[in-house]
Amino acid sequence: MMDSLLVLLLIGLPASTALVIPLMEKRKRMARLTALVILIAISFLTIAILASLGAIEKTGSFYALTGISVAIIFYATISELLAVYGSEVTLSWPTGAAFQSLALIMLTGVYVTALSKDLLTLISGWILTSIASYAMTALAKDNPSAEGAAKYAIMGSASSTLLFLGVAVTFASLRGLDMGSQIAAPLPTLLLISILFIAATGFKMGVFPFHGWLPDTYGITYPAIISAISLVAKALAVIVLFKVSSLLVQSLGVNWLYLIALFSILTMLYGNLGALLQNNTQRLLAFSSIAHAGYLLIGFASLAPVAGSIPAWGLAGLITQYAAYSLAKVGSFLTLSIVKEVKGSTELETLKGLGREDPVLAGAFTVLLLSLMGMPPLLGFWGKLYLFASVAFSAPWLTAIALLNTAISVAYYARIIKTMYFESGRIEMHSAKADLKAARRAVIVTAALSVLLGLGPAHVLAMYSIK
Amino acid sequence: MEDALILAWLAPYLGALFVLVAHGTGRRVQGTVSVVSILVSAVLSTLGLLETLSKGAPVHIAYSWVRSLNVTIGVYFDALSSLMAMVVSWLSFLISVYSLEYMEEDPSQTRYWFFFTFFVGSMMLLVLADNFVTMFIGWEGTGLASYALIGHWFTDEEERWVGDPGRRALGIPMWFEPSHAGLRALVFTRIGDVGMITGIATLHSLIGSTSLHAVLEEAGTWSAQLYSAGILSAFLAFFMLGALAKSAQIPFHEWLVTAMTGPTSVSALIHAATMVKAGVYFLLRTTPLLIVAQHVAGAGVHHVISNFLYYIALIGALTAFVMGTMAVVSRELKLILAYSTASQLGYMFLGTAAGALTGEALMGMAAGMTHLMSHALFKASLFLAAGAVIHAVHSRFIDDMGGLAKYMKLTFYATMLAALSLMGIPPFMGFWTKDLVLLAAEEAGLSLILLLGIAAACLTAVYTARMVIRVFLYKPVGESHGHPHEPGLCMLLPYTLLSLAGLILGLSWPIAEEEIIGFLGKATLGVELGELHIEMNVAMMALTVALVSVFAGIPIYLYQIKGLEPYKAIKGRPLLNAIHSFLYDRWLINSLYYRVIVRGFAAVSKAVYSLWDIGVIDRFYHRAIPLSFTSTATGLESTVERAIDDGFHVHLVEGATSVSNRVRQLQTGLLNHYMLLLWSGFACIFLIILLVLGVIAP
Repeated sequence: MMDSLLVLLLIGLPASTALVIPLMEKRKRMARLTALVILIAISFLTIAILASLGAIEKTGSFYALTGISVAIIFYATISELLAVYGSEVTLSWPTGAAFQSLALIMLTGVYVTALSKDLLTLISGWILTSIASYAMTALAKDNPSAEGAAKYAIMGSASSTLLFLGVAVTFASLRGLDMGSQIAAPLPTLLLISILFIAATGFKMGVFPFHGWLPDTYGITYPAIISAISLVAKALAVIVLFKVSSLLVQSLGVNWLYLIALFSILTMLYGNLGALLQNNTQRLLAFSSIAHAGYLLIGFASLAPVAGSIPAWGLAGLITQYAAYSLAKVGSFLTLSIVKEVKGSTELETLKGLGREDPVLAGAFTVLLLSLMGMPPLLGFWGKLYLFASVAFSAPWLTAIALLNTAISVAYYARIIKTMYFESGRIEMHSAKADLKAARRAVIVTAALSVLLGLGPAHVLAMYSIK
Repeated sequence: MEDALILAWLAPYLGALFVLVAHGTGRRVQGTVSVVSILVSAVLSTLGLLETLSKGAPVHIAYSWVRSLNVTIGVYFDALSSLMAMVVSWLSFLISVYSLEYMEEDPSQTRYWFFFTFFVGSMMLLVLADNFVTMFIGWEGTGLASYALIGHWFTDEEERWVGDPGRRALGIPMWFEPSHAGLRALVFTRIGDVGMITGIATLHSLIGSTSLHAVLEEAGTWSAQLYSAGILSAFLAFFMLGALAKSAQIPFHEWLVTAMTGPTSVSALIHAATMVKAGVYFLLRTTPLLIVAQHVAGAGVHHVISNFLYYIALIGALTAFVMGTMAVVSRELKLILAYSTASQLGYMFLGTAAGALTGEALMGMAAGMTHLMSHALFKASLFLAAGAVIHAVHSRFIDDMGGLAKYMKLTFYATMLAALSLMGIPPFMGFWTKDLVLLAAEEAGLSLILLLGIAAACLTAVYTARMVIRVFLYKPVGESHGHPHEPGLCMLLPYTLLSLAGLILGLSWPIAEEEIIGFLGKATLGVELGELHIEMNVAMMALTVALVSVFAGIPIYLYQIKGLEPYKAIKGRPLLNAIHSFLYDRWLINSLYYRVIVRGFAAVSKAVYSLWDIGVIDRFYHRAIPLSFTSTATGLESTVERAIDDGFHVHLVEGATSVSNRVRQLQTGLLNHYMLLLWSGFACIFLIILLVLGVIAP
């Protein structure tokens, strides 16, 4: 009963607030504050739900909770909180409080999918988040944002089609929509379902070859918007893929490992190689998002029932790496939004001299990049460690390729750091507008969290979530 | 009480030690210590002689020393060694007294007295040794000390040189600095010493001992063994090599000539009494052993040893003659005496070896030993007097002397007496002993050697008379320096006494000779050598006296009566000039040594240096190895390093760039491309997976 209440609150609070905020069109600050308060409340709510789980899975009358889903939405919520806090600049936009409202709606969709017990609920959550994110992408109302939004929306429709198709085939095989049992079907059917789901969720994450929209959208749209979207898209994809994988892994066996590994390798290579020579920081980070999708897939590969595979580490890795990714992306895209406000561009060279002009911001940004790179003892290191180790015995080649890709990624992250500290240039940080102060603070908080969580709390949370 | 006799050689060693300790106290203390220690040695030698005489048998004191080699240390007074010890110690004493004055102003008192005393100790050890190892130690001690004493004035001032500065023969410099001369003495004698120690080692390996008694007792054994191995001649040659070198016999005579760079007292010590006599003494010591071996072992051994003795006699005769010729033309007072010394040493070798060949065991010892004693007396006297003369005129060249009889009467008389003895004029001691040597040669039937001996005697008469005339009677040729005067008593007394002793001994010789020879026959090595009955060959004696007198008359006639100017007659007469130069340049033997041996060795070592050291070693270490390393490094750099470099910094970068660019090209920005990629990618992967899994067949 208590659980049901909590679950209802989890959906009801953001949904209702999202509906109320547009009414505060005149009082934008009030709207922002409301959204922030609600997000803080939801953060606590997710902790409460996680604490009340007691087991890794709990199935209610209308919901099905797993530890990993709850952990992911917890991290998603606090990351979104920081993104919304840092995006104070949106208040000056003519679109008013739409940003805050859409952020809450997107999260509501994620929560719905996280709670979903059956495929229809899953789809409804998916659609909710997707549509909200298309709209959000266009909020800046400039040409690049419009282009990014258009591409996102059109390709999103295509990928949603694949999802529906997957659900349909699953329905045919399961003779129902509940996600409680394994699909018993011939191998081709199972593979078809797998690829359909991977394509759909992979589109959201940026898995090759379904990634097409991502570099363009993430690379050119207003950075503050991306900071709010990227983490939600990743969370949605991880949750949905995890949910559907539970229908398939046992039946597919080792095929699941190879299937996921194939996409993982292609994605890692594509993302890292694409990022390598980017001269635009934002676009570089977009490719880095693709690469991280590849890393996350390794966690799913570890779920395959293969000798030597360690699913517990894979899940811990998914949670921790998602946390590292979402915090780092929020912080770094917010940093870029500051830079874009000051210099009008996100080219790499605009970062020149940042280390001298604003050492705190540059330091925080550096911490976030190092976390993405996987530098101990930052959060990103632990995430990669769990992920890579989970398949080290079942598929050491995958670990090796992942390590190689990590090595490649060092090059472009180091380029950014080098540009900030070792190349002379001027960036007039003091001319930044007052509404960028919040962004700066948010960046510092994300960096601090990347350090502090890596020192212990993240491990506790991950282990508790998968026990 | 007899044990105190060991001080006969120990006292000078202790004295040398005190001299070192007393460094800095100067001539009075150090000189006195040295003189006293040598006096102790002389007194004990006398006691030893008296003891041996009274016992009529050797006095032997021995302490075990090096057990592994069966070597003892102590003193061994038999007739031969006690007479020798007497000569050595008393002469050394007189010369040390002379040195007190002669070396008065020398700044290096410690060095002089230390080596002087050390030298006497070593010589006494050599003489009184009862085995060859101890003898060799004393032997080497004299060698070392002689090097230091000959090179005493190692700062090489020109007045200390020997030879004419600037004169060259066959391109080889004919002047020698003290440091050079010291080195020559060491090197020449060391060549012989190597042979000697080889011989000693051979003896030891054959009979397990080197004591004189053991070698005597086993004479038949070792000689037969060596003979059957076919190396008896070689062994004898090696064994005697040390003696030949030490006694400056041809071809080892060169060192002795240049040893004149040392102080005159040192020349007297080395040439009259001690070092060069060591070789003769060694021959005298071993001759009885050889004769015993001859008698004990078979005919083969007898033949080999006879041959050996003949060659020794021949070498001695040649040395006597050749060195005599050189003395005739020498311009340096000390050099004349040096040539004379070598010449007389030749006599001693000749006498000893020829005497042994007569078949009478004692003859050789008698001839060699008596001439050794008489030579010691007159040569010491001559050297010491020469020292006084050189001191007086500040020149070593006889050209700068002349007419000194006026200023240095006593010195003149002393020199005169000694010179007459040297020439072999009766009744001086030298006459008797030289006659004995020639008699031995005649009795042995060695006509060639006898002829050489007589010729040498004539030459001796010539150069001695020339020397006395040029120094004391003739007018000076060169510049005279200051006012010559007699030296002090310390210098004057020793050579005066020695000359008088020569005269007295000569007068009493007919009696003394029999005593000495009888003693030698009775108490040498503790074996009875029998008695010697010397039958004087009056005809030969008369002939030699006549010849000597005639030849002594030549310089008297030329200088005193005809008033010939020295060197003038030679000029303008190519033949005479050539002969003079040949003799003056010491038969060119020195030049040949330097040209063949020294330069040859230098050439060989230069060739080895340039071929092996520079050509191979240097090239290997400084060219080949560095080159191989550089080429390896360059090779590695151009192949591996460059490849790695290119791989990482060019190809990898280019590859990454092109791949990265390719990836970015996929990102066209056109939505329809993305859609195409999405659908076709989805379809392709699905199909490929189905194919791979074999769900569908191609």
